[in-house]
Amino acid sequence: MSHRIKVLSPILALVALAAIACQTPAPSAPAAGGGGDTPKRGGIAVIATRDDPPTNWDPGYTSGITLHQVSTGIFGAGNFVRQCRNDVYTVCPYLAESWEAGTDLMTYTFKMREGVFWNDGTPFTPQDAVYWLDLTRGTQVGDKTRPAWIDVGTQQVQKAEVIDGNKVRVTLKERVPAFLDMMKTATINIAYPRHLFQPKIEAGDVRVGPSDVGFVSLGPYKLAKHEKGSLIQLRRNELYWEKDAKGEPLPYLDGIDFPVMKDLNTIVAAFRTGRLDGGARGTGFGLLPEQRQALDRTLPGQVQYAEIAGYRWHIAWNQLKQGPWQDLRVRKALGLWLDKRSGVQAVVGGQSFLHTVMDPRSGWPDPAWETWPSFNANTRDRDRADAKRLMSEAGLASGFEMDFFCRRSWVQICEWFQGDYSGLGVKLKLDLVDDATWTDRHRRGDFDGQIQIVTATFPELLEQHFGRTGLNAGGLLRHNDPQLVSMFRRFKDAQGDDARKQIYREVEKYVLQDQWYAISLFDELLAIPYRSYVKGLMPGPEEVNHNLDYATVWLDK
Amino acid sequence: MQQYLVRRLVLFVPTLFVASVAIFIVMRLLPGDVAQLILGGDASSPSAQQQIETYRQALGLNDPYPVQYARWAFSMLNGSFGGESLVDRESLAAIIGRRLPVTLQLAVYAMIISAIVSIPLGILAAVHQDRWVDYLVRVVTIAGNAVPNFWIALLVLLGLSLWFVWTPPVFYKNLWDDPSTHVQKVVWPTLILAWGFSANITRVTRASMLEVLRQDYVRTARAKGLTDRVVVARHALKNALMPVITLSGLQLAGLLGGTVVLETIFGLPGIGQGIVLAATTRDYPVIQSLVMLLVLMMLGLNLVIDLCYGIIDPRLSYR
Repeated sequence: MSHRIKVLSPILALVALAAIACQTPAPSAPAAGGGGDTPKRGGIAVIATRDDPPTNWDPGYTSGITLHQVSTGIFGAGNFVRQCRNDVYTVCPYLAESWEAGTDLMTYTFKMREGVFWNDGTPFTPQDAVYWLDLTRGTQVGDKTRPAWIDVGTQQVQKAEVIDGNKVRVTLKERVPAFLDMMKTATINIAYPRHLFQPKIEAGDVRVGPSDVGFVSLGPYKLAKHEKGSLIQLRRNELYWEKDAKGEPLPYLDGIDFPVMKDLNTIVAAFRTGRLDGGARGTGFGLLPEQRQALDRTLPGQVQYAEIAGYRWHIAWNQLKQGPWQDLRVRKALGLWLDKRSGVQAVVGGQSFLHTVMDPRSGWPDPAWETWPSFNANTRDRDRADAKRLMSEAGLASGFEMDFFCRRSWVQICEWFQGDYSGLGVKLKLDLVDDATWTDRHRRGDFDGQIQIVTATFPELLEQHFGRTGLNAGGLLRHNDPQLVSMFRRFKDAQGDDARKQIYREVEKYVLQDQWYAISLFDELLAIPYRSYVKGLMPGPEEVNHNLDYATVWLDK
Repeated sequence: MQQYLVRRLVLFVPTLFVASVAIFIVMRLLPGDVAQLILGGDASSPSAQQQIETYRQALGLNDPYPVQYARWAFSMLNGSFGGESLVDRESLAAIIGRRLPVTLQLAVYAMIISAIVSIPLGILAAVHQDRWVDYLVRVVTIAGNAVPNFWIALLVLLGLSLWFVWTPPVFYKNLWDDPSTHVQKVVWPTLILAWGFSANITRVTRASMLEVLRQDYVRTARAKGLTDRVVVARHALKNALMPVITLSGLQLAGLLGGTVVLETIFGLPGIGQGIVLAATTRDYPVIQSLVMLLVLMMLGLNLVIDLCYGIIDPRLSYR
């Protein structure tokens, strides 16, 4: 007997060790509903992030959520302007307290806010804003690499200059009615402190980034600690300028701890046990319906969800490659056949909604879009019969085979429409690739058909997806259609939002209904869990980066 | 022995060279590059291609391959371990210094636990062959071999969260910085790894012991009236350990690069996670240097195993 005990003793010791290790964490927060609406100051929120930020934390290089989930708090949620906190579609002042647009919409004059400081105590000046604009456009140093995405806004700028001491006048290369919409993008941040960047760049370090200058920045928080692969710690920037409606300084929190967590299951488990106050944002990190139900069941009334749309799935066929899809009848058949509502159930468990190119809530889409063929549930059977008929008329009654290009991480949705299309006789050979291969082949147009996420909070942004080939190397369509190009050119001459809306609706109908170049599927609704005691989040309906500065967040504990 | 050691160490050089060329070529065969990933994203612009080219130039990716290889190899030799990451400019020395201890600790913990558990279990199963103890050990070890560790990890997390309302801490801390958090963070991945690790060792120990226990000298020892414990511990065990040591060394080497899934699930910033991340972002210097590190450790472990043979079996000589 004693022999057996000796043999088993190491195992018993291990079990004991495990038991000791399973110390219960700090008690979780009280149930939702407690406390009032008056923000409480202090506290540290613990919110997951899915990875460490890349590229020296430089928003001039990348616009990914991996960076902005943690960096918006440091850099701030905008530049001269920002998306309003309560309305993602509207422009609000940020570092400029007001602006005037020239009558020709080619000049914008921003009156810069006073009393703004870099978090090292250096005053923020209009010259700093001009330097940042010049740097992102490459005019100041010539060889500092600019990001592709930032061209949407700052590349419209011909010249930036300081006038009257506290104003910045921006002259555009051409008339751009949507310039402020472009600039309000949450990921365009003034993250280059002139007093620290200029000496480094002049010394030849053109790749200098925020991490090389100690993250000196303008946002509501400062970086306190970064343990790569584990923890990113932000603490309040006492010099931050913004105040709430009662004149109280923001932010409310003392800080935010971001554990780096790369696995959704781990995040959900940690959230359930009170280790986390909020989940990570980004595709692949929204809760599955069953995870959401489980949280509601185990933590009744203690969880709220940020439901972030804006990941609008689209399919398109490469019009620059030969194939049956060159025939409009085939494209229309492909569009009419797909049962989008079944996809909503099969792919995202019903956690989604149909859309056209832009979010219906934005007010841009044609009000009648839900009655269009392929969108209308009542004409489903007729649409499918029409699809079969069109395939027969095109001489493809028995279908055809084609390659379909898909990111490996999107396999679920690709497999769904692969299965759905088999009913039409169309055999899609899925070409599943990793991100690097996808980016490379996408840019070269090396595919027959593809699926892509189209996100736009204003219509001019769609040019990168629907413009001519030279403009949309990373976009959705591949075509040489001058009519579509001319539509985007007309945006430049549009007078007011009504005119822009009319042009957008022409584009929408032309792409989705007249030419059937693309198929709008459905939106992937990201459900990000937060504990109910986390207040003041206000995430926008279709902008994953909205209000990620966490300046108005407080903990009702 | 010294001559043997020197000869083996010299043989490291061509092995490392071939491995370095192979990993360098394989990485270049993969489509896509880090400049496209960083600048491309989901959006684009008229000047995107030009910007990518400029960025490639800045990163040195437009240089001829021999130049790129020589630059990397030189930086490996001059002590900077391959330069810096193309993605975030962190030095390779810092990356290795940060990631290696995490993986090493995990691997060593798993090895220690499995050594403590698996060798006694293997002996127990062999001594009690075809009895309930043996069957139990075999069931547990076969399960340890057959069930993927990531699946166990997810079940463990789920079970802990549902039944004990407990999950490991969300931050990783080094043992010397915060022992309590460290233990809480690594105990489960260690136990899961140790299960798979010890399953193999237990089975090999059992098989090897069974073979040795049937040898004439063991029968002689029993005939002399020695107790079972003495026969097993002094006469059989040492001779049965040779294949166990070989397997342990190989498994340990595998553990150093093979813990990626557990590292991801449990949020441990180790080497395996670093290699996968570098591969997906085409961060050439990082993946090349980390793979070379693993090759070097594999060679070193093999050498240590070979040297151990001589300690266990003095009849072996090094020539």
